[in-house]
Amino acid sequence: MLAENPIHIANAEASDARSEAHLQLTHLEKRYGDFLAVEDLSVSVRRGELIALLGPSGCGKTTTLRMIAGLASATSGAIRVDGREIQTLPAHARDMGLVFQSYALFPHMTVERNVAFGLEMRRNSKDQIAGRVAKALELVQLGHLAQRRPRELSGGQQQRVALARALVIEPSILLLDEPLSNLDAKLRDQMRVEIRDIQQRLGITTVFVTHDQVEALSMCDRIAVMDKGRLAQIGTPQDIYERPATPFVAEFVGRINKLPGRGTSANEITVGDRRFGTAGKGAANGAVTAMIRPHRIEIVPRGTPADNRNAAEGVITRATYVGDILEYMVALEGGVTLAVETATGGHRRNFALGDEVELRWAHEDTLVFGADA
Amino acid sequence: MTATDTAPAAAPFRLSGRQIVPLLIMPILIVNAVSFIWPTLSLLRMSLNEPIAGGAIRETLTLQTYVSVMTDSFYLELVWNSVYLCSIITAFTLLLSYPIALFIHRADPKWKSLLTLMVISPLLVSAVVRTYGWVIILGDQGLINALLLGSGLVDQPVRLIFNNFGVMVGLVEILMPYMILSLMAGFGRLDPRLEEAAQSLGAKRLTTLYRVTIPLTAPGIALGCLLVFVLSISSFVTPKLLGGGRVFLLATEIYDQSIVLLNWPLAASLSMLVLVIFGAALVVYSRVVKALD
Repeated sequence: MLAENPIHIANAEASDARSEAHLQLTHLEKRYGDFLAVEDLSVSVRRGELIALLGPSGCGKTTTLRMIAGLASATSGAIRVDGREIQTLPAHARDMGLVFQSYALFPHMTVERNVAFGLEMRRNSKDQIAGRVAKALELVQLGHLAQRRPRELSGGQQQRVALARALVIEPSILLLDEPLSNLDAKLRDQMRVEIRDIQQRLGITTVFVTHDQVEALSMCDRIAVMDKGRLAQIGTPQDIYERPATPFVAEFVGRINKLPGRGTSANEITVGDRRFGTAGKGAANGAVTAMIRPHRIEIVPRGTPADNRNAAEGVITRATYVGDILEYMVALEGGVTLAVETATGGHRRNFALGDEVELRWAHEDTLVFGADA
Repeated sequence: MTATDTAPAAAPFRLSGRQIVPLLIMPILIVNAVSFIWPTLSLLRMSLNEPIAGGAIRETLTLQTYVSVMTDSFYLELVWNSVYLCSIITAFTLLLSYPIALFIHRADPKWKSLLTLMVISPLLVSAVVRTYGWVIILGDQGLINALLLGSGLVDQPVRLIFNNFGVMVGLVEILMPYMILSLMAGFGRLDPRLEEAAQSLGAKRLTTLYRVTIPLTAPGIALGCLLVFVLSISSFVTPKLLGGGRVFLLATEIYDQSIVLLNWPLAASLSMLVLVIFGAALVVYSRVVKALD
């Protein structure tokens, strides 16, 4: 598709994106004095895609969002929308819908006036504004609260007003800065579904900044994991979770066990005198760190017939009941302790403290990284 | 705990929170009674006496001075002039102080205290000294006139003091610290995210200023205006020195009546009039604050 378009061929960087790039960050950098907040960040966002910028606080994800919105200026690099550089445009001319972590609703205006603000700036007619505001409030199910002040609303309601205010102007791109972090757990789950639903219905290209891997994994089409201002990995939730590119990504997107070992071939390592098959892309020869997610390990009684999986014998040193899961700590011979999670349920066998057991896990669940991880 | 224990142990010198409040307010009440309420009442009493030519006073109860103030066009104009000039002074003080207050509010925290100190530092010098400073700057042989004459823009010194302009310049400068501090105190609600939100919704800088920034800082604006208006209408030294006897305001007239003409009853009734103006300003202020909320 792009190849047929001569303009895109002429632009080498635009043709990097195999499908239609709506928003493109190229070698973006933000420097505060000696501190590099964002370093050589290149991300291409497709039209209609919901992409997460995921990372711990201070990784540069919010700075990146602010640069896209025009609230911070990049030290170098390019930000393009539909192939057009937008950094010369001030924030008010960028046509982006922005939802702040604190919602930033205007306290001196009613909900209706808050939502109408962006349309008034665009000099729409009064009738048109009233109609579109009503529709936007309907979209977030707040039509009945139009005359309230923000401080009279609950956190979840304020969040929806902020979303309506950002969406009513029909921005080309929606930017969400940790929009769920101020909500309690139950509401957060609900809003997660709701935001994804609205995003899909409107088909709006969305950048979602979050430090919560569950939000990123469950809501987004793709995730860009950031670490100390750099892009650590970009990919689908499955890519990020199943095939983390770096130890940082592996540890950030969920609990994981770490085993020090040595690589012996491309798909085998040794830990102590045990041999384990691996996912297959390990660095052969030399010290490595193997990582295994706790819920990918199965506990079986000793003496269970061997199957095609990795196996290790151990003793249960702790068993914690957490409702939906049971968390075990299993000490292997040789001083390594692995965390294991199993779903609770009637058909499963529960093990007790001190039980001598055997652990089994698939080769492809054994991720191998360099030893310094 | 048994039933007999439930009665609190008798503590002879313990006061509950409720009892201690009047006790804590007492000192300021006493100070106010002695230094404000009593003098005000004696002023009221004085205003009801009858002045006799030559400075004597006859103790009586008459509204004669009030009648003469209310019917004499000179005094009516005086009141109007004072309110008018002080309103303009308040407006100019606000206009000049708002950007400074906003700048300090947004400044890097490490500079903030230094900048605030710079705002307050003029208060360390007495208003009398600062007023004389303005006489030197604005006078016929002053800095500005020297510049104007030297550059050949004018052949005659421009009259910059001993008129309303001089009084305005002096009072605006003297009252700016009060305005800046009041504004800064009212900037608490001004979250920079709100201004960024306005920008992301398409508001240009100026639109953001009058749609978001100013409405959010309105309580501080109201407080600063009240303070500056009250201080300007009651200020005496600066209008006296920079007005040079040609600018007639309530405060200067009260001085003339009581010290020069020794007409204390009239001075007292004019003072009561100033109090009424204060009261009116307070009513306007509380209405504005209520409307803003």
